[in-house]
Formats: sequence, structure tokens, C-alpha cells
Amino acid sequence: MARQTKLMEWQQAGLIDAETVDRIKAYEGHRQKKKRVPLLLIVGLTFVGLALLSFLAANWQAIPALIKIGLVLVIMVSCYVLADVSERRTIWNPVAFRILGLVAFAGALIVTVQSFHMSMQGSFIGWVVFLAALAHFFTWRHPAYAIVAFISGLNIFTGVGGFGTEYATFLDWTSIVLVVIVSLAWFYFSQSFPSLILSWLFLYLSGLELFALVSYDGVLWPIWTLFVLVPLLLVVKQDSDRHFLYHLYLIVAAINSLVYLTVRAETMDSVIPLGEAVALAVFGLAIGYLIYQKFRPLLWILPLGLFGFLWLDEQAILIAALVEIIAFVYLIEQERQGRRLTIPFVYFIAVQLTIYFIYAWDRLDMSLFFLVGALLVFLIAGVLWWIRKRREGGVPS
Amino acid sequence: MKRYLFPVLQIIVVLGVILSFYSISWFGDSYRFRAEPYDPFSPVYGEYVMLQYPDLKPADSVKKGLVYVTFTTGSDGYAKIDRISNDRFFGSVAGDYYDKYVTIPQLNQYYVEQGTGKGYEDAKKLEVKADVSPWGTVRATDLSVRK
Repeated sequence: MARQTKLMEWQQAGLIDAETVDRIKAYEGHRQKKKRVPLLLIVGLTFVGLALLSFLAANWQAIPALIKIGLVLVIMVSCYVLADVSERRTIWNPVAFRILGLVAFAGALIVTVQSFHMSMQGSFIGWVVFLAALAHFFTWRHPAYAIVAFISGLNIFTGVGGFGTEYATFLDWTSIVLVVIVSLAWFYFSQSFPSLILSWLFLYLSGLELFALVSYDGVLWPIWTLFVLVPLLLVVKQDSDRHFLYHLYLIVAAINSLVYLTVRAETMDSVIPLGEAVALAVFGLAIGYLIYQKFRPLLWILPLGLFGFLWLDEQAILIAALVEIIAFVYLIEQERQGRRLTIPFVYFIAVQLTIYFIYAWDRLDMSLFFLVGALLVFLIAGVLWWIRKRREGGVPS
Repeated sequence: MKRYLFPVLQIIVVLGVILSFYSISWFGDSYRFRAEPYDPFSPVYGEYVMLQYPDLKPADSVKKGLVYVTFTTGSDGYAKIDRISNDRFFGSVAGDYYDKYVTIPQLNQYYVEQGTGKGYEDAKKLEVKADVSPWGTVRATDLSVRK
């Protein structure tokens, strides 16, 4: 063995004494014993497991329903037992086992519904797994459960049929109210990431689905929802969390502005009633007062309140102008305040590209020439700015 | 005890779902539905046959969209619509009326043994046995070729 020879060599060279050699040997011997995993056993078990699985798969249809469900439930319980064992002996990862348990739970429900030839269309399974994962989250406070809850909760939104009823378009009132209540509770009681973001996204999605429910075919729903969600920041306890959430609002507002710009420029027939435009602007003022008092960095989302009026212009030139000005002023303002410029810069570029593709698509051959030129200018400007920052001795952000 | 609370609760939920399905048969009436396969379909969840029901053809007065129906057995032994309305009434089953027939979501698809779906689709003339509970849920119990 290479180690033995090395140790002998070191001992002979007088680098280490005999006692140290014995200690090293004892330590290595002990460690090896612990590490010696019966590899063949693992390989064998894997094959037995695979054989068992394929045997089950081959006879799946022939197995009575209750036994099928029982099998999946046994898998589920053993996941929780393993999680318990791993927690007590601090080996492996209890969270991973509990997540497998949740997956097995979803599997048990799917197998049940299938074995009884029931419809998979309702949102029942999504709901149950969502609530179970949330309960896991609030019991153990691990972010992984929050992510599982988010993924299973998404099925509530995509599933056809509401809570209990099989047929409804998207969600019915009961489901929307429940989703909002549960998401609010999740938001309020978690006060940690990523739960704050995930529950916020659920609230935003419920706002969007509400439009399908009241069958009012407005186009301003996303802005209304964003404004309505601003007071939610009042319940965020940590200042650092709130500052992080500002980014979420700003990014959603930025995406909204670009989508509105594109949609308005490419469609001709959608109309917003003047009343709604006025209502949105007034509501924007009210929310603006709150933002001005409490959450100054969010002032940038307020121009969205004007989109109702700007929508009247079919060519979308007004929207383009507003978005362009905002992007530019935002970039300059962030630079002056010495903040990170990544997001403002990406937004600025995205605005330019959107406007470019909307208005210059028909003359793309010519416009590509200018586009490439513009991108080069941006690149040069960026490099110069970075060099200047370095010369000034500041840390480039 | 907290550690095993979740598996226990989750088993109770699954048992509840199973019970609710069985109770349809315990408390409900059984019907035979004349069925026809349509639109061959094989998604990830396993093989199933999509079914439509030629006997479930409502009167002209019924509006398309969401409908509520109850069933009765006709003289030929197959189920037909007893009462149908666009408004919910006690004991009714929720369904959807589009194109020509009323579709009941729980009877829309039937999971079959792997590889047998094509046989049912070729047979064309099928019948479905289903139990309908007094509170308006449906459970299909058998799919066979009509004689």
C-alpha cells in the first residue's frame, strides 16, 4: 500500500516518530472500516428493486385497486420513517425524504382517482398536495417545502374545474377566495424567502384569474392587480425583506410595461372604457400616496396608472414615449444614486429592442443596420463608463 | 408525534377519497349507458378510452354550456336523460352540453388495461356501467363491448 510505504519512508527520514505512525494507522484503519460500503450489496439491492418495480409495472392493471393504493401509501409511510431515522441519527437528508413522501402522497391520490375511473380534471389533487406541502413548510420551516407547495399549487391554476365542482372555466369564486386567503396567510406567516415571493406570485396569479371569473374582458387587470398588491408590503416585518420585494414589484411592472407596449402596437381592436382608465389613474394616485409615504423606491411603478389613457392611441406611440422616458430617467437616477445598474440597464436595452422591433419590423433590413450600430454604441458607452469608474477608484457595480 | 402526523393525515385523506368513491356505489343507483369511443388518446397517465353517449341528447330548449341532469332507465335497458336543466337542482349531475351530446366529466374517459384501448376503439359499440349517487356524483364501474 502506498500509504504504508510513505509512512515508513517518513519515519526513516526522521520526519515523524513511531507513535505518530501508529496513530495515523489507527485513524486510517478506523475510518476505512466505517467507509467500507458493501458495494455488491448496493448493486444487488438496486437490481432487486428494479425487478420488483418492473414486476409491479407489468401487472399494474391486474392488481386490485385497494392494493395498488396501499402499495403507494406504504412507500409514502416508509419515506417518512426514513426521514425520521435520518433526523434522529443526523445522516442523509430528512427534507429530501419528506419531499419524496409528499410526492408519494400525490401519487397515491392519482392512483386512487385512476383506479376508480374518476376524472383527473378537477383541482382537488393540486389543492390537497398544496396544503400538505404548506403544512410541512410551517412545521419544519424549510424553503424546499415552499417550493413543492408552489409547484403543486400551480396545478390549482392550470386545472380545469373549481373546488368541488367539476365544471367551471378556470377557478370559481370559492377557489379564488381560498387561494387568496391561503396565499395571504402564507405570505404573512412565512416572512422569509422564497415564500414571500412564491405566495406573492400566487396572489398576482389569482388577480389575473379573477378577470376570467367576472367575465369582464378588460386589458388593465395586470396593472390593477399590481397596484392592489402594494399595501401588502405593510405587513412585511423585516426592512431587508421589503427592500428585496421592491425588486419583484419593479420587475413585474417592467414586464407589464413591455407587454402592454407590444400588445397595443400589434393590435387594433381592443378598447378600454374611459371610465376604467379614469378609475385606474385615480386608484394609482391613491396607491401613489401610500408609496410616497412608505415605499419610495416603488414610485417607478406608478406610470402604469396612465396606461388606460395611453391605450387610446392605437399606434402606441404615447406608451412607447412614456416607457422610453421612464427607462432613461430610471437608469440615470440609479446611476446618480450609485446603485447597482444591472436591472436598469437590462430594462433600458429591452425597451429599445421592443420599440425597435415594433416600429421597424417592416423595414428590418435597413433597421438592423441601425440596431447593430445602436448596440455597438451601448457597448462602447458601457465600457467607457466602466473604465471611468475604475479610474475614479470606485468599485464598479 | 409531530413526525408521524403528516403520514397519518395523508393516509386519512386518501382513505376519505376512496370512501367517497365507494359511497357512490353504496348509496347510488346503477345504470347502463350506451357509449361510443371517439378521439383516440394516450397521454402519460396511462391508456384510456374517450367516450361519448348517444342517448344523452337533450331537448332543443336546453342551452349549450353547463347543464344538470338526472337519469332514468329506458325500455331498452339503457340509461337516458330523466330531467335536464341549466340550473342546479337536488340530486343532479353536473355536465357540459356542447356539439350534440351532454358530457359527464367522470364518464368522459375510462382507464383500460395497457394495449386494450385500440380494441375498444375499433369495437365502436360499447356500454358503460355507472353508479350515480343521490348527491350527484358518478362513478363508472365497468366498460364492455355492447352485444
